[in-house]
Amino acid sequence: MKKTSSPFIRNARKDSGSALVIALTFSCIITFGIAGILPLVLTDWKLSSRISGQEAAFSLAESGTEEAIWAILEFGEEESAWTSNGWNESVNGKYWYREWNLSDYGEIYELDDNRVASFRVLTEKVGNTVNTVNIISQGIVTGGKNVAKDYRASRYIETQFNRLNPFEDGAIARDQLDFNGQPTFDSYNSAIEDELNWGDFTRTENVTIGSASTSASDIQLGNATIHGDLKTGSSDDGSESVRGNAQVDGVIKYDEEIELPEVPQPDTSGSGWLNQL
Amino acid sequence: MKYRSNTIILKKLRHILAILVMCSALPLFIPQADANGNNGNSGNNGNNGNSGGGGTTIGFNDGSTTYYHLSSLTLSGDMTIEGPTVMVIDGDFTVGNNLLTISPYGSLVLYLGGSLTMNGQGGLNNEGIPANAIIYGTHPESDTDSSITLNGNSGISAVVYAPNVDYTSNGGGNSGATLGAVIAQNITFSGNPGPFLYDEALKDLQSIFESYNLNNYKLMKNGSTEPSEAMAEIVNSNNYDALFSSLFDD
Repeated sequence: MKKTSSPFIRNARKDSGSALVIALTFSCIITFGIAGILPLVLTDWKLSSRISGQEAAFSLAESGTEEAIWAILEFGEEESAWTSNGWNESVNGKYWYREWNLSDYGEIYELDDNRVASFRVLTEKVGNTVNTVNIISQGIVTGGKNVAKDYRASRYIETQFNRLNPFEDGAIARDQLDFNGQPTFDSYNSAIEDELNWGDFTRTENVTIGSASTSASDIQLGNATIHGDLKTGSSDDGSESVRGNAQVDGVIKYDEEIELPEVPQPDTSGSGWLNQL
Repeated sequence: MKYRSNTIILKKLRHILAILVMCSALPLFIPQADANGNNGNSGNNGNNGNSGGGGTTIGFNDGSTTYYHLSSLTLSGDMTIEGPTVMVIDGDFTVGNNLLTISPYGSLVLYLGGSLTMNGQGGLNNEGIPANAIIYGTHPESDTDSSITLNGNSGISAVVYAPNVDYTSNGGGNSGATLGAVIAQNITFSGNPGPFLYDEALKDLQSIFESYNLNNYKLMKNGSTEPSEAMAEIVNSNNYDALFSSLFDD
């Protein structure tokens, strides 16, 4: 006698086969998905670790620059002060250099993930260049999680620190420029003139005339001729009203902040001062 | 009595001595004519100020600096500054129809508390190197009486930093000129004065302001291993990696 399955059992077998196929299909999709995404995730992970290292190196380099600025203001041209505070003099005698490690600052620069940090600074000697000091700072981060064993992030920052030189321009008024008639403004360079004859110079057309005033009406140029730039503390309203009838060969610079500190009278109480010619 | 007679003799001796001293000092107070025929006083006028003239020469060309603190100064004859000179003038400085010349070894740093007035054909530092004559106005902001004024054909070749007083050029002729740089409260040019010529060499003038200013802090390079031109010259290298490795023994 032939055995026959009931319709219920036949349907059940069909269903379990379909479920298996569906499960296998989903498993394949998930496996392929993970296999495809995993490298991307790992790359992203490594990249973020490296970016984090670079950011830390940048911050460290900034710290180095701040250390240099502090030393410049504190030690100035006093060489013994530099050397007694851990700075080394370069062979050519033009700059100082020094290195700081994480351990110098304890928790302040303690980085996570077993990273080791340091920064190095190289600063030009005060007085080597007139009115400027150039600084190079390097921030370094080594090691950490999710990076190669010999991972090292390094970042350099070069900055220039300037002393205020009020004579970088030609004629600067704290308040008003008031030109009547037809004055001419130009420039020359006494350092390159072969022979200095009063009034007979090679014109270089690089003068700057300006006012620190924030009011455009404080600049009255009349019919002046300016072979160079015009500088003003006022804002640009698009009208170029500061120019008036004047000829300005260069550009008009707006919103200029011009610092004009007072000069104190020197102390003349010493014995070396003569009170007659 | 004996004591009295001795006292009288001593007084007479002092009197004679005083006359001798006055006679020996007399030539200093006699106005002398300079090469241009101008009369001027050379010597001390005490609290009434100083007059320089008669071809006055001050300073030493051996490099040593001479310091003067004067109540005022009127230049009624030509004057030559032979060496580095620092001058503090509490009051006014007036230059007549004369020249104040600064020799190749000389320089003038003038701290002025009053007005500077130049008249006629007067000239200050007429050699055309403004950095050799620096004028600092020490006036407080409340000073409304002082000024720096060029009249006639007078010319000036100097660096003027006087942020609390007015600078006025009332030139009527082309020979009067301003060479150098001017910082003042108000700057006025009237008529048709000689040209204003800025000396570009002043960009490298040593600043009077000792402190470095945090506002003048510029980022030159960020993330590059190649130094700027200025820095390359200082460190004698074109590559930071190589330079830092050699300095810090990497």
